[in-house]
Amino acid sequence: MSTKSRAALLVEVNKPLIVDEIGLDDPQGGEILVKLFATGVCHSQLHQIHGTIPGVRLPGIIGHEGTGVVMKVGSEVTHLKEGDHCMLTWVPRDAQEDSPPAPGTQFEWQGKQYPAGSCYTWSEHALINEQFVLPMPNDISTASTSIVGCATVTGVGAVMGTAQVKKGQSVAVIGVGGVGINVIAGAKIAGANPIIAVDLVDEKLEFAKEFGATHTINASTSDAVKEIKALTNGGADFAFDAIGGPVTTPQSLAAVRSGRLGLDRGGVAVVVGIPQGEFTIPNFQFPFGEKSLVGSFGGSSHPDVNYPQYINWYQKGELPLDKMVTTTYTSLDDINEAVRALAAGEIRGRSIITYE
Amino acid sequence: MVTKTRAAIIVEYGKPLAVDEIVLKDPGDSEVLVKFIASGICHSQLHAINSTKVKIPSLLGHEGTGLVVKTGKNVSHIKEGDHCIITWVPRNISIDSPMLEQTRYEFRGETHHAGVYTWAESALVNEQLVVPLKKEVPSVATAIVGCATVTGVGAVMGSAKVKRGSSVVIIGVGGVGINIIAGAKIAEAHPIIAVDLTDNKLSFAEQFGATHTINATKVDPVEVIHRITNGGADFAFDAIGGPITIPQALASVRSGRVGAKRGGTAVVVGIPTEPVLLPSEAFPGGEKHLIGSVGGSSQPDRDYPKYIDWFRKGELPLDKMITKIYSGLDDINEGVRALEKGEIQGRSIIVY
Repeated sequence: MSTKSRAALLVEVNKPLIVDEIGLDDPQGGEILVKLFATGVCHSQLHQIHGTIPGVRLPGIIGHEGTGVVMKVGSEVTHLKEGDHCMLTWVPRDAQEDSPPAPGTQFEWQGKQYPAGSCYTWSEHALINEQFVLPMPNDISTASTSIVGCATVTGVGAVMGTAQVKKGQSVAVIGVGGVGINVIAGAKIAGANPIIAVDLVDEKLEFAKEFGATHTINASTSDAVKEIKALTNGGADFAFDAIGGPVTTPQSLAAVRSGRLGLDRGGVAVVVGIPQGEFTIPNFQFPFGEKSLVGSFGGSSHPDVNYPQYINWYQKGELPLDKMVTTTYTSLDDINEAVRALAAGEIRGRSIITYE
Repeated sequence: MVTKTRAAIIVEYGKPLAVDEIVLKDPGDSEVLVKFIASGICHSQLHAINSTKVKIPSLLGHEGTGLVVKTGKNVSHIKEGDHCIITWVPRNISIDSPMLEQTRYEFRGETHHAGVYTWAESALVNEQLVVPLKKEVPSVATAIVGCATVTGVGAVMGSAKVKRGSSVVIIGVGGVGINIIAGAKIAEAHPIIAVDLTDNKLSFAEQFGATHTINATKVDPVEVIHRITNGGADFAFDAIGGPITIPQALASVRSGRVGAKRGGTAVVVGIPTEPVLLPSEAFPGGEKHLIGSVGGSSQPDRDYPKYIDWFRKGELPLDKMITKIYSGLDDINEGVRALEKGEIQGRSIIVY
């Protein structure tokens, strides 16, 4: 039996998305058919819409964080069953180093079959491989938890999984959008101090304080690196670059402390945002000071292990997902407006779409 | 009482080193007066000799072995008559230790300050840079422990923490590079892939444990490394540190697998002299690491005894690493010239 669903289709780059009906087959093998409750709207989708990252499928369905209810599972699915609430994500939940990539699914549009990406959420229903579907309790909000599958795993994961920040360590966060506020919240949960937020907009910096930023720096009016060094007595233990670019990556490396010869290694700069272009490392940054520059992608996380922790922090009030969601659209028909607002910098935290 | 000794001294930019007399006072509270047995000749000294920013006069050399002649009153870890390793990495500082104080010497009637130096027959050295060496250990080959070994073996053990079975690449197999290879072999890495531009250095590298060699003038090293390691090495050590080799090292390590494993680690050991351009795809996808290693992230009091132990068991063949021995300071300018011309296959040393 085929399921009809409405989806936002990317048919051509740099053009508005088309909301239209698609058809989904019954789940086979490791597939799960999900009816979505909500989805986040993430900067990565802007990159796809604008064609600034490789591998964009046309026509394609995008979005990679969401929540839903399981409608039907394939014969090989054991960790979820019909009626369970779930989170959708783009990080495989229990991949092994040598496991083959999870196979993609297909959707039908205007009488033709097309391959779908590993995960998509800008659709009222989705057919997805079980690796990208995580269980979640049926008695918690299905709206604000929709951002766990990308914003939280990327931000909190960068702190806990990639950098493994410890209590009392100093943290700087460059760029405080949807991911940046999750980095800040993660740093607070880890007991970091100080937590220094850097952005170009005062309003975003004020917002960052709600999640645990102890200091804020507006880099349009002051030298962020110099100020971070002053606040941390010579450089932070960690700097997270939530932008990723020719300006912010060298800044984050310059903002971390040098190690002391014979005593300890230097600080760690973590690139979380996706650079749009090459960047230059000044020759004095390596190897002197024994600093580290590391990439964080999906927060070095293992969702089966980590997502229950995130949900637990949310339930205890330590991870305020509700406050992070600052705009809620209530229909897929608002998708192009949601994209426009995000691209225009009008979204302070994260925006989501809730489905009927 | 004063000690008169001979030292190699930078007296003028762009001129050969002068070998001349300097005068040392008795050691201050935290100082040790050392009579050298041997000293290594390292690329860092070439940087100093060729720099126009080095102060005049300057003393040189930062790895050696010697005999303790006299100690200051706060020195308790070593005594007169002991053998020692001289190094530039402080042996046991703590977070609140003050900066190491420089020592003084008199040259042509004026007093000057110096950090560590080993291109001299005797020296005053801060006790933090003097590590005990047991009498029964050969004191010539161990002259290179204080820089080449701590930098190379330390990068493997201290900075990268290479584990058994990890795949390792070494770009540049001079004095430090062969210590990285030897360290990787001790750590039981496999494969150990040496990359250089000359075949004779590459065959030399095989003596220390390189399982594969790549001449980067003939093939694309990154492509060959990916083939040998089936997708990228766990670690790549850049013993050159340049705008070509740093991006190569980063490209040589494997990408991680999202949800399963982080990527490989590129370790910058050599010292870049110009900015390095990195491609946008280097981060964050693949979750790779680019880390600096200076002095091998080591703590000499803890680590040098391990190096000496490996040397004595034959696992760290320091003797084989030394391919040229000069006798005395008078050959110092020839030693500098030969290193600069690439004529030294492993490490050269001076024996006093």
